[in-house]
Amino acid sequence: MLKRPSLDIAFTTEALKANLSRLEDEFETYQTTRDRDGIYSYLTAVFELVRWWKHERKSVEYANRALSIQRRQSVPKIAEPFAAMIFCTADPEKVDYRMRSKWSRVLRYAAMYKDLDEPLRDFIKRKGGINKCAARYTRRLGRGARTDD
Amino acid sequence: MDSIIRELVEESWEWARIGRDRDPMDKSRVFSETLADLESSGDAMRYLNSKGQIAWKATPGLRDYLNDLKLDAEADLEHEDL
Repeated sequence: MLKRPSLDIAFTTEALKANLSRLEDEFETYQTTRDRDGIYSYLTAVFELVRWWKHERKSVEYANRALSIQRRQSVPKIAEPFAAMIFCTADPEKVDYRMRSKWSRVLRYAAMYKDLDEPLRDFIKRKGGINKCAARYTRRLGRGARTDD
Repeated sequence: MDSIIRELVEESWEWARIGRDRDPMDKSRVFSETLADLESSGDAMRYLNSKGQIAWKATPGLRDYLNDLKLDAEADLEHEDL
Protein backbone atom coordinates (compact mmCIF):
# COMPACT_ATOMS: atom_id res chain seq x y z
CA MET A 1 0.00 0.00 0.00
CA LEU A 2 1.18 3.52 -0.66
CA LYS A 3 2.45 5.21 2.43
CA ARG A 4 1.98 8.77 1.18
CA PRO A 5 0.01 8.41 -2.02
CA SER A 6 -0.60 12.10 -2.51
CA LEU A 7 3.11 12.79 -2.82
CA ASP A 8 3.63 9.98 -5.27
CA ILE A 9 0.83 10.99 -7.61
CA ALA A 10 1.07 14.14 -9.67
CA PHE A 11 -1.92 16.43 -9.65
CA THR A 12 -2.36 16.69 -13.40
CA THR A 13 -4.16 19.31 -15.42
CA GLU A 14 -6.83 16.72 -16.18
CA ALA A 15 -7.27 16.06 -12.47
CA LEU A 16 -7.53 19.79 -11.80
CA LYS A 17 -10.16 20.14 -14.55
CA ALA A 18 -12.14 17.24 -13.08
CA ASN A 19 -12.12 18.94 -9.69
CA LEU A 20 -13.19 22.27 -11.18
CA SER A 21 -16.04 20.52 -12.96
CA ARG A 22 -17.11 18.86 -9.71
CA LEU A 23 -17.18 22.22 -7.93
CA GLU A 24 -19.17 23.78 -10.77
CA ASP A 25 -21.69 20.96 -10.42
CA GLU A 26 -21.92 21.65 -6.69
CA PHE A 27 -22.57 25.32 -7.38
CA GLU A 28 -25.20 24.44 -9.96
CA THR A 29 -26.90 22.16 -7.44
CA TYR A 30 -26.81 24.93 -4.86
CA GLN A 31 -28.44 27.29 -7.33
CA THR A 32 -31.24 24.90 -8.15
CA THR A 33 -32.04 23.72 -4.66
CA ARG A 34 -34.50 25.40 -2.37
CA ASP A 35 -32.69 24.09 0.65
CA ARG A 36 -31.39 27.11 2.54
CA ASP A 37 -28.45 25.01 3.69
CA GLY A 38 -27.53 24.18 0.09
CA ILE A 39 -24.63 26.62 0.12
CA TYR A 40 -22.78 24.44 2.63
CA SER A 41 -22.30 21.60 0.14
CA TYR A 42 -20.65 23.97 -2.29
CA LEU A 43 -18.50 25.64 0.35
CA THR A 44 -17.51 22.23 1.73
CA ALA A 45 -16.38 21.11 -1.73
CA VAL A 46 -14.24 24.24 -2.16
CA PHE A 47 -12.91 23.91 1.38
CA GLU A 48 -11.93 20.23 1.01
CA LEU A 49 -10.08 20.85 -2.22
CA VAL A 50 -8.08 23.86 -1.09
CA ARG A 51 -7.49 22.27 2.29
CA TRP A 52 -5.44 19.41 0.88
CA TRP A 53 -3.67 21.79 -1.47
CA LYS A 54 -2.63 23.85 1.55
CA HIS A 55 -1.51 20.71 3.35
CA GLU A 56 0.81 19.99 0.42
CA ARG A 57 1.86 23.67 0.31
CA LYS A 58 0.62 23.91 -3.24
CA SER A 59 -2.54 25.98 -2.86
CA VAL A 60 -1.25 29.13 -4.55
CA GLU A 61 0.31 27.18 -7.40
CA TYR A 62 -2.79 25.06 -8.05
CA ALA A 63 -5.15 28.03 -7.67
CA ASN A 64 -3.15 29.96 -10.25
CA ARG A 65 -3.28 26.97 -12.57
CA ALA A 66 -7.03 26.81 -12.08
CA LEU A 67 -7.39 30.51 -12.86
CA SER A 68 -5.42 30.13 -16.07
CA ILE A 69 -7.53 27.13 -17.13
CA GLN A 70 -10.92 28.46 -16.20
CA ARG A 71 -10.86 32.11 -17.08
CA ARG A 72 -8.52 32.56 -19.95
CA GLN A 73 -9.68 36.09 -20.60
CA SER A 74 -9.39 38.93 -18.12
CA VAL A 75 -7.95 36.89 -15.31
CA PRO A 76 -7.97 39.05 -12.20
CA LYS A 77 -5.14 38.88 -9.73
CA ILE A 78 -6.55 36.74 -6.94
CA ALA A 79 -3.87 35.85 -4.45
CA GLU A 80 -6.12 33.97 -2.06
CA PRO A 81 -6.77 30.32 -3.08
CA PHE A 82 -10.29 30.01 -1.61
CA ALA A 83 -11.40 33.18 -3.43
CA ALA A 84 -9.71 32.00 -6.61
CA MET A 85 -11.56 28.69 -6.57
CA ILE A 86 -14.89 30.42 -5.95
CA PHE A 87 -14.11 32.74 -8.84
CA CYS A 88 -13.33 29.74 -11.04
CA THR A 89 -16.40 27.67 -10.20
CA ALA A 90 -19.27 29.99 -9.22
CA ASP A 91 -21.36 31.90 -11.73
CA PRO A 92 -19.90 35.43 -11.67
CA GLU A 93 -23.35 36.86 -12.34
CA LYS A 94 -24.61 35.26 -9.15
CA VAL A 95 -21.52 35.67 -6.98
CA ASP A 96 -19.98 39.10 -7.06
CA TYR A 97 -16.73 40.28 -5.52
CA ARG A 98 -18.29 40.98 -2.13
CA MET A 99 -19.93 37.59 -1.87
CA ARG A 100 -16.73 35.87 -2.98
CA SER A 101 -14.74 37.80 -0.42
CA LYS A 102 -17.19 36.90 2.33
CA TRP A 103 -17.19 33.19 1.53
CA SER A 104 -13.43 33.22 1.24
CA ARG A 105 -13.09 34.77 4.70
CA VAL A 106 -15.45 32.16 6.12
CA LEU A 107 -13.34 29.36 4.66
CA ARG A 108 -10.10 30.91 5.86
CA TYR A 109 -11.58 31.23 9.31
CA ALA A 110 -12.61 27.56 9.23
CA ALA A 111 -9.16 26.56 7.99
CA MET A 112 -7.68 28.26 11.05
CA TYR A 113 -10.08 27.14 13.76
CA LYS A 114 -12.16 24.16 12.68
CA ASP A 115 -11.27 20.71 13.97
CA LEU A 116 -10.48 18.28 11.18
CA ASP A 117 -13.32 15.93 12.08
CA GLU A 118 -16.05 18.57 12.39
CA PRO A 119 -18.19 19.09 9.29
CA LEU A 120 -17.81 22.59 7.86
CA ARG A 121 -21.55 23.20 8.03
CA ASP A 122 -21.66 22.36 11.73
CA PHE A 123 -18.68 24.58 12.45
CA ILE A 124 -20.10 27.59 10.63
CA LYS A 125 -23.49 27.19 12.29
CA ARG A 126 -21.89 26.73 15.68
CA LYS A 127 -20.01 29.97 15.15
CA GLY A 128 -23.16 31.89 14.31
CA GLY A 129 -23.46 31.47 10.55
CA ILE A 130 -21.72 32.66 7.42
CA ASN A 131 -21.86 36.39 8.12
CA LYS A 132 -20.62 35.96 11.68
CA CYS A 133 -17.72 33.75 10.58
CA ALA A 134 -16.69 36.27 7.93
CA ALA A 135 -16.80 39.03 10.54
CA ARG A 136 -14.84 36.91 13.01
CA TYR A 137 -12.12 36.36 10.42
CA THR A 138 -11.87 40.06 9.67
CA ARG A 139 -11.79 40.93 13.36
CA ARG A 140 -9.29 38.30 14.44
CA LEU A 141 -7.02 37.97 11.47
CA GLY A 142 -7.56 41.20 9.63
CA ARG A 143 -7.55 42.12 6.02
CA GLY A 144 -3.78 42.00 5.91
CA ALA A 145 -3.64 38.38 7.03
CA ARG A 146 -0.92 36.46 5.26
CA THR A 147 -2.02 34.32 2.35
CA ASP A 148 0.21 31.31 2.26
CA ASP A 149 0.19 27.64 1.50
CA MET B 1 -9.05 5.37 1.08
CA ASP B 2 -12.77 4.66 1.22
CA SER B 3 -14.26 1.27 0.40
CA ILE B 4 -15.31 2.19 -3.16
CA ILE B 5 -11.88 3.45 -4.18
CA ARG B 6 -10.14 0.59 -2.41
CA GLU B 7 -12.24 -1.91 -4.34
CA LEU B 8 -11.41 -0.20 -7.65
CA VAL B 9 -7.65 -0.11 -7.05
CA GLU B 10 -7.63 -3.71 -5.80
CA GLU B 11 -9.46 -4.71 -8.96
CA SER B 12 -6.88 -2.90 -11.09
CA TRP B 13 -4.14 -4.72 -9.24
CA GLU B 14 -5.80 -8.07 -9.93
CA TRP B 15 -6.07 -7.24 -13.63
CA ALA B 16 -2.43 -6.13 -13.75
CA ARG B 17 -1.34 -9.26 -11.89
CA ILE B 18 -3.06 -11.70 -14.19
CA GLY B 19 -2.45 -9.69 -17.37
CA ARG B 20 0.14 -11.35 -19.56
CA ASP B 21 0.70 -8.46 -21.91
CA ARG B 22 2.10 -6.14 -19.26
CA ASP B 23 5.52 -5.94 -17.74
CA PRO B 24 5.78 -7.00 -14.11
CA MET B 25 4.62 -4.09 -11.95
CA ASP B 26 4.74 -3.49 -8.26
CA LYS B 27 1.54 -2.94 -6.37
CA SER B 28 2.30 0.64 -5.38
CA ARG B 29 2.77 1.63 -9.00
CA VAL B 30 -0.51 0.03 -10.06
CA PHE B 31 -2.29 1.74 -7.18
CA SER B 32 -0.74 5.11 -8.06
CA GLU B 33 -1.68 4.84 -11.71
CA THR B 34 -5.21 3.76 -10.89
CA LEU B 35 -5.73 6.59 -8.41
CA ALA B 36 -4.36 9.10 -10.93
CA ASP B 37 -6.74 7.77 -13.59
CA LEU B 38 -9.71 7.85 -11.23
CA GLU B 39 -8.88 11.41 -10.19
CA SER B 40 -8.49 12.60 -13.77
CA SER B 41 -11.81 11.06 -14.74
CA GLY B 42 -13.57 12.74 -11.82
CA ASP B 43 -14.28 9.52 -9.94
CA ALA B 44 -11.85 9.93 -7.04
CA MET B 45 -10.79 12.92 -4.99
CA ARG B 46 -8.17 13.64 -2.38
CA TYR B 47 -9.03 15.20 0.94
CA LEU B 48 -7.55 15.83 4.35
CA ASN B 49 -8.86 13.19 6.76
CA SER B 50 -9.51 13.58 10.46
CA LYS B 51 -5.92 12.56 11.20
CA GLY B 52 -4.57 15.35 9.05
CA GLN B 53 -3.42 12.99 6.31
CA ILE B 54 -4.20 13.13 2.62
CA ALA B 55 -6.68 10.37 1.82
CA TRP B 56 -8.81 9.33 -1.15
CA LYS B 57 -12.54 8.91 -1.54
CA ALA B 58 -15.15 8.49 -4.26
CA THR B 59 -16.55 11.73 -5.65
CA PRO B 60 -20.26 12.51 -5.25
CA GLY B 61 -20.62 11.84 -8.98
CA LEU B 62 -19.30 8.30 -8.70
CA ARG B 63 -21.39 7.67 -5.59
CA ASP B 64 -24.53 8.83 -7.38
CA TYR B 65 -23.71 6.65 -10.38
CA LEU B 66 -23.17 3.55 -8.21
CA ASN B 67 -26.31 4.30 -6.26
CA ASP B 68 -28.30 4.50 -9.50
CA LEU B 69 -26.86 1.14 -10.58
CA LYS B 70 -27.84 -0.36 -7.26
CA LEU B 71 -31.39 0.97 -7.52
CA ASP B 72 -31.67 -0.36 -11.08
CA ALA B 73 -30.43 -3.76 -9.96
CA GLU B 74 -32.90 -3.82 -7.08
CA ALA B 75 -35.73 -2.84 -9.42
CA ASP B 76 -34.72 -5.60 -11.85
CA LEU B 77 -34.63 -8.10 -9.02
CA GLU B 78 -38.05 -7.04 -7.82
CA HIS B 79 -39.40 -7.39 -11.33
CA GLU B 80 -37.95 -10.88 -11.61
CA ASP B 81 -39.67 -11.92 -8.42
CA LEU B 82 -43.01 -11.14 -10.01
